[in-house]
Amino acid sequence: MQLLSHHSAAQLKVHHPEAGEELRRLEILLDQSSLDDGLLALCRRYFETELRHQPWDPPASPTPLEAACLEFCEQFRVSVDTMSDAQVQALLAHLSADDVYNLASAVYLLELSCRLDLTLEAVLP
Amino acid sequence: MSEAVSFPAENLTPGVSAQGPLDRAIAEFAAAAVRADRVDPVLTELVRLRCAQYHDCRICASVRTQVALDAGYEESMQAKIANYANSDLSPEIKAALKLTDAMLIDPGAIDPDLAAELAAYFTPDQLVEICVDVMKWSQQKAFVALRIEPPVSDQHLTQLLWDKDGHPIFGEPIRES
Repeated sequence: MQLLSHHSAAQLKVHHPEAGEELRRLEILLDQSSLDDGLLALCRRYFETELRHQPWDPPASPTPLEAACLEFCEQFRVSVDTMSDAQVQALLAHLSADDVYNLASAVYLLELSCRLDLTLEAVLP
Repeated sequence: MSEAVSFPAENLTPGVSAQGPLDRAIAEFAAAAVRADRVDPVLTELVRLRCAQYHDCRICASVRTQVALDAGYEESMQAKIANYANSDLSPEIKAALKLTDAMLIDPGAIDPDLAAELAAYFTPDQLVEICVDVMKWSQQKAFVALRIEPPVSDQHLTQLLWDKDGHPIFGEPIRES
């Protein structure tokens, strides 16, 4: 799972190599984790699309887990502090507490790395 | 703040989720961010507190970094963050807080004026450090989402220190002067 764009990876390599190396390790770890690759790719596509102001094309027939995960991602992006119990319970209906915890951590990485990409593209083009 | 989220943290398996591989790797990324020291610690603390406010992170809001306290951070500064544009904070700090907001709110809409303003105050090394800090200080978003980020203390602010590798240590209560 690629976290950083080539531009961001190059900027980090020059200006913050230690952080860049740790994010590269996290990319490898996400690939090796028990989290569903397809679900993570869907989250990444959602953040890339929304944060870049591109039209979001949701899955035509999302599984209940995909739908719950996308709702979690949207709330995470817009206003994490107003995440509802129903939104968390919707994930727990399909995943264990351990998996929801790890998914939330992965969502953090996918969202913030996308925000980092966009910010570095703008301030250090 | 959100309604009560009832995430069953008691069901987490240590070493699988909490303190598991992903948790530990994120902690190493965070430590690398903390070890960078090309930005003034007071500015870094104000960026951290802006992230805490934006995400409503209770644990983040309940601590103050000792390195910032040692560098002259005063609690009166915290009250100015919410309306920093109209505050008497320095132009450099205001620019860093604008960058923080841009990254947290709508990084796809950052305009060239902000990039030019930032370039007047910060080197590329410093800009990347601030951006990585915003990512690091947003680490608790995952825990805010599940509401498993209680404050260190409800009664007082607490020192946040770092070990030699950049990992956090909660210290003593901070006495108001």
